[in-house]
This record gives sequence, C-alpha cells and structure tokens, in this order.
Amino acid sequence: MIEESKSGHTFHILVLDDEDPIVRAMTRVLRRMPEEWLDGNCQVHGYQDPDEALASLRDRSYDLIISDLRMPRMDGISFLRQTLAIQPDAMRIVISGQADLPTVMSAVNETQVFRFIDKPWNDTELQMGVAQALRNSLLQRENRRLADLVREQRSMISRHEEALRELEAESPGITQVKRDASGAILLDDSDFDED
Amino acid sequence: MTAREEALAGAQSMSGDRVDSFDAEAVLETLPVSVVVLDAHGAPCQANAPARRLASVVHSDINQGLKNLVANSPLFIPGESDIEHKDCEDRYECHAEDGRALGVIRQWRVAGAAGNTSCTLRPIRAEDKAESAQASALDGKSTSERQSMIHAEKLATVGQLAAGMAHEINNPICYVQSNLGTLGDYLNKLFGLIELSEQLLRDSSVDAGERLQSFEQRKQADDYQLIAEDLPALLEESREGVERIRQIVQNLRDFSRMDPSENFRLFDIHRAIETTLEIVRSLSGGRVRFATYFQSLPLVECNPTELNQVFMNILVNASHAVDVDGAVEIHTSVLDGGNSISIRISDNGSGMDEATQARIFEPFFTTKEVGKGTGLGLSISYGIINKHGGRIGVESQVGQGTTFTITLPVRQEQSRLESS
Repeated sequence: MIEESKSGHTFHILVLDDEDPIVRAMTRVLRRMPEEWLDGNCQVHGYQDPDEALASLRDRSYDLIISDLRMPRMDGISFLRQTLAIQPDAMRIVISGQADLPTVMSAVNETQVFRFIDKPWNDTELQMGVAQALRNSLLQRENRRLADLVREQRSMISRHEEALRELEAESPGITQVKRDASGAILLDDSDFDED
Repeated sequence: MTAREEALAGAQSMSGDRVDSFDAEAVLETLPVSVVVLDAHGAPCQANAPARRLASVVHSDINQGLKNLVANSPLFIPGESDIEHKDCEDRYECHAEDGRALGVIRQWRVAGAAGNTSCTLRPIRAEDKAESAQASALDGKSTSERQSMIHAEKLATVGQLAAGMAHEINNPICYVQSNLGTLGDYLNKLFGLIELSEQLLRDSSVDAGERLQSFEQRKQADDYQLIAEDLPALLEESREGVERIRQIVQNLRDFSRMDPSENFRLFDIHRAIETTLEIVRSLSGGRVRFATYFQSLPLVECNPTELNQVFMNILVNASHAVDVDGAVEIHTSVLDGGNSISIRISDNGSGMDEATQARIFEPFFTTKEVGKGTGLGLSISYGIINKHGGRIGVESQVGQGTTFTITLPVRQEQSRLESS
C-alpha cells in the first residue's frame, strides 16, 4: 500500500473478514475517506485469519478494529473479546449481515463495540462511522495525554513547593518578596541582620 | 358414553335404510384409510382403493393380497358374539410376496358391523423388528402423493438452507455494491484529469514543461497511480462476485425445481454431485472441508433431480454431524465390469450407534431437534435409490464417522422405466 503523505495523523485500522474481496472493498472505501470528515489518513491492515489479526494486534498499536461476526474459525465476539484484552483503547466496529439481538447485546456489553454496521454497508455510513470512531479514539488519546501532563506538572509543582518550604524553614521570610507601589523590590536592612 | 362410542352408535343407527340411499361404496372409495369388508366367514368381500393398492403391494394377485392383509388376524372369530369382542385392534407385521417386510398392519374392527375391517400400514419401527427396518413410507402412495411429499421434503431442506444461503449471497452483494461506489469515485477523478488535460492543451500561454508539471501534480493529488493499479483488480473481484451470486441462484433453482415430466435420462453423476456440493458448501459456511475423489464414470441412466436430493440429504447430514475440523469425502467408482457404479460419502463426524443406524431410513425418524429436520430425508432417499434399482447402505461408528454407500445400475431395466 502506498504511504500517503497528506497532512495530519495516520490512523491504523485493522479489518478482519474471512472473505478477501470484502476486506479489499472495505479498504478501498476507507482509503477514499472524505478529507472534511477526518483530519488524517487511514492505513488499513486487512486480515482473513483471526489468529494472524491477533498476532498483529500484539505487534502494533491500532486506532480501530473492524470485524465480521460470522467467521468459520473464530466467531467475531470472541475475537473482539480478545482484542479488548490486548488493546483496550482501540475502538471496535462490527460489520455483520445477520446480527440478532442477543449477539448485538453481548457485543456491546462484553466488547464495547462502538458501532454496528449492516452488510451490505452503505459506503457513506461506513466512512462516517469510521471517521467518528477515529475522532473519538484521537480524543481519548488526547485526554489521556493531557491527564498525564497534568499529573506530571502537579508533581513538579509539589516538588517546587517542597523546596520552597525547606528554604522558608531555613531562613524564614526568604520566599517572600516585598514590593513598593511601583513594583520595585524593597530590601529591608533587617533581612541582612545575620550577616 | 364416550365420544367415540357416541359416534359409533350414531354410525350404527344410520345403518338402516338411510345407508342404502347413498352409495356406501363411493364413500369407502374416498377414504384415505384402507377398508376391507369381510363376509360372515371372515373372507374379504369388498375393498376400497387404498386397500386394493395395499393388497397389490402384498401380493401380485389382489384377492390373495387382501386375504393376506386380514389373514393373520385373531380378530375375526366366526360365530362368536359381537359383544364379546367389542371394538378390536390388532397389529402384525406385513410381508410382501418376496418376503420383504412392508410395515406393520394396524387392523381395526368395529363391533357389530358385518365385518368392516380397516387396515392401515405403518412402517416398521426398530422395536418391532430391528433388522427389517428399511420400509419406505412411500409404498402404497400414488404417484402424485409421492411427488408432493418428495417436493415438500425438498422445500423443507431448502428452508433450512435459507439462512446459510442468505449469508452466502449477501457477501458478494456487499463487496460488489461497495466496489461500484469506489468505481464511481475513481471515474470522477479520471474525468477530472481528462478535463484538466483538455484545458492545458488549449492553454498556449504556458510552456509545455509547466503544463506537464501541473498535470503531473494533479495526477499525484488524485492518486492516479493507485487507481490505475487498483482498477483491474476491482473489476475482476466484482465480476467474480456477480458470478458467485449467479451460481448460487442457479444451483438453488436447479435443486428446488419440481419437474414431474423429468424422467430417466443419461446423466453425469459427477455433475449432480458437484451441483449439490456447491449448495451444501454454502450452508456449512466454510466450516467443513469437502473432498471429491472421482473415478471416470459412464453416464448413468437416472433421474438427476431425484439423485440431487439424495446427495443433498446425505451431505447436509454429514455437514451437521461433523465438528469444527470436519471433513467429508466423496468417492465414486465403477463396479461390476461397468454395469453399475458406486458413490461413497464419508464424514469424520459424530457417527451413530446401532439402534440409530437401524432406524435412519424410517420415515419421520430424526435425531435433530424439533423443527430442524422432517425425518423424511433418508427415507425418501431410500425410496429414490430403490426406484433406480440401486442400493443404499450405511456404516457408522460412534465418534468415528459415518459412510453412506450408494450403488446404482448404469442402465435401467425396461420394466422399471415403464412403471415409473
């Protein structure tokens, strides 16, 4: 696949379906994702074999996992359950031609599926669903990054405060700066008493 | 008085002059059960159409057949008072002239009547007699009844196949439709490039090098390279998808067709197997591996639609019997110096114990859940192979798998062709 050099983020999407033509058709649809819906481009990794897909999930980080439900070697729900253990942060979408209510419920409740898309899919619907999932995953990542940043900065602040307290204990008043009305620093003679 | 006694009393009260006023014989003729009327000595004196048909199966001479039907009966004891043995019922095994077990006769006699005995035939169950359990429910049915029964069973099979079929058709529809959308997108980009090149060609104010450069830029932006590489694959995959749908629909139509006019003709058995195998493959959704080992066979004089149904029944059962790593093998070979052929269908599935094996050709016997099988598949298959003058047998071991062996004569006897 040609690595596109458009601006923005590259999203990694794993597509699993036991039929190769389906994987390829879906790859084509995602590759022509309208720019206005998604800032970035989609790199699709297609698999027909659930075990190979799982191996790849252990190998690289994905933003989105799209899976069929009915496959000969492993059913979609148990595949998604395993992806949840390997990459809990990736978004999950199910594409299926025959999803009954119990299957849908167990998919949503057990594997946190973001969206169900019917087979045959509507290209626009698929693109919108995927774009939304990717934006969500981006937001989640951004949230986590910001939360980490805040935590890091907090710990830095508390280290600073600690240092200040130690200084203050050593020489009381040293952390306080007195200023006059114009903002100039006032140095009191008493501050230099000890010298 | 029970409801039945009431009804009987009613029937008896009518047996005065009112009975004479309508044609009792005509009424008897229309009954679906076999009715034999006995005279005072217990000999059959009158029989309706089902009874005559039954008798003709039992013996080539209908009168002898009728006698055989009621002969074993301990019911009729001449001279004894009717009150002594009210409404009596008896069951006994019924054999054809050649000693073949036909089934169990259920004979029923109404107290008081001169001798009306009703006989119904039901197939033998394993508990009746295990070794002769291969009676066909279709014996004694008229051709049209038989035809509609076979067709109903066939449609029931198709109904069970429908879910698998829907999945199978849905997938190609899915990618062909999506590929058409992509194709539209590609075409828009290509047309855009053509328009641009036309513009550039007309615009003589810019020198050739620049024009070429802006064309190249646009090509790059529109992923021209990618489209050029992908387009042939896209078309090929879509064409293959449509071909798959066509094939599935064709197979289904071949299979579900009821063609009463279709008769024995020379046919390639391998083609019949392949057609049916295609359908069963789609049902099993790739879960089962099917392998065929075909020896070169002569054309066989047969009814292909009926044989398709036999293969379908056995293959569907096989694909139900196997587990995740299921394998079904089909072997064909020539026997008997080219006078007959054999078809062996084996699976590595759950297998059957002997009690089950003894009953599989019985009508309405099924090990599947209620609603999952009609229990008619193999009994109809048995009837069909019988009609072809062939044999069908089964070997099975629990946990090991099951093998069905069908042998068919290459040419039909002239008499059989005429009777069918």
